[in-house]
Amino acid sequence: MSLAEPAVIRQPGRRYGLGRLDMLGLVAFTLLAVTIGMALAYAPRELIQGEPQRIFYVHLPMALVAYLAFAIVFVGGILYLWKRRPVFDIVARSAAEIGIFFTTLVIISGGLWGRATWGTFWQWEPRLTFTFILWLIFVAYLMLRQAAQDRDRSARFASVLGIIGFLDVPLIFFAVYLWRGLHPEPAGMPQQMAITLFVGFAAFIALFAYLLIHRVSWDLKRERVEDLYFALEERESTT
Amino acid sequence: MSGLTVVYVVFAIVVGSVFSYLFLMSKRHREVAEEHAELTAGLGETGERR
Repeated sequence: MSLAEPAVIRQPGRRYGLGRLDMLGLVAFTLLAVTIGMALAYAPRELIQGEPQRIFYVHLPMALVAYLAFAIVFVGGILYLWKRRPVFDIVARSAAEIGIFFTTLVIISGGLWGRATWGTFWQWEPRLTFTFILWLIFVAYLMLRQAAQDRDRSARFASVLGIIGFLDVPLIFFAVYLWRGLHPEPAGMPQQMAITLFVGFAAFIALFAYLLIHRVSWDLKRERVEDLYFALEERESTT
Repeated sequence: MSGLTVVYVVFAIVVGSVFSYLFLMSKRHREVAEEHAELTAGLGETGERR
């Protein structure tokens, strides 16, 4: 199997990987700390929602990063079905896992924010419902990966599911314009809020890249281990 | 739970989850590296036997 790997993935924790990858991790965690600090001390108190609105500075960037992850699953799925190169499938399934991770955090942080401002953890309003559907689709995607034995078959089915699943993302985005719900339509904000949000976006994008590289690197190693199992079985059957 | 408390709880959940996920990832890396080493050694042994 030929897997085209960037140097940073080829030897994580060794000659190439450690420096660059650790630098990215350092940047991500510094930006995350700065985001939290700015959300608590720099961003002004929102007049209507009060203090709980500060959750917004992690909630929205995490949602954006989750959509980015599912967009990668979508592109990776298309490329795998087209080119049949395993690396596209590996990147797609790694992005799916991280997408579920961030979607879960979005649902939890949104629920707690909703409880503090709307008085409810959950309501079956359009954006929340479509987000929950998205989460379910990608949990099914990962379950499918676990269940199937044949690598190529599992990758093909998962690619199709990932492509279909991503179509839910535009529905989540446009839900506030198409149907009335609890989520408000985007509006302008004071400069301090916008700067804090921008730093939040940078933090979570860096964190996503860091996690994705780690996850892809692990999956590539696991693929090599599976190949070694095959080789060992073949040798033992011929001896 | 209201006001700043909920904000602190959310930030703690986010940071805690990120660190837990990274911990899980390092554990996976360690395990797969051990498995790789064992298999490579196993393949070496079968190669010698042949």
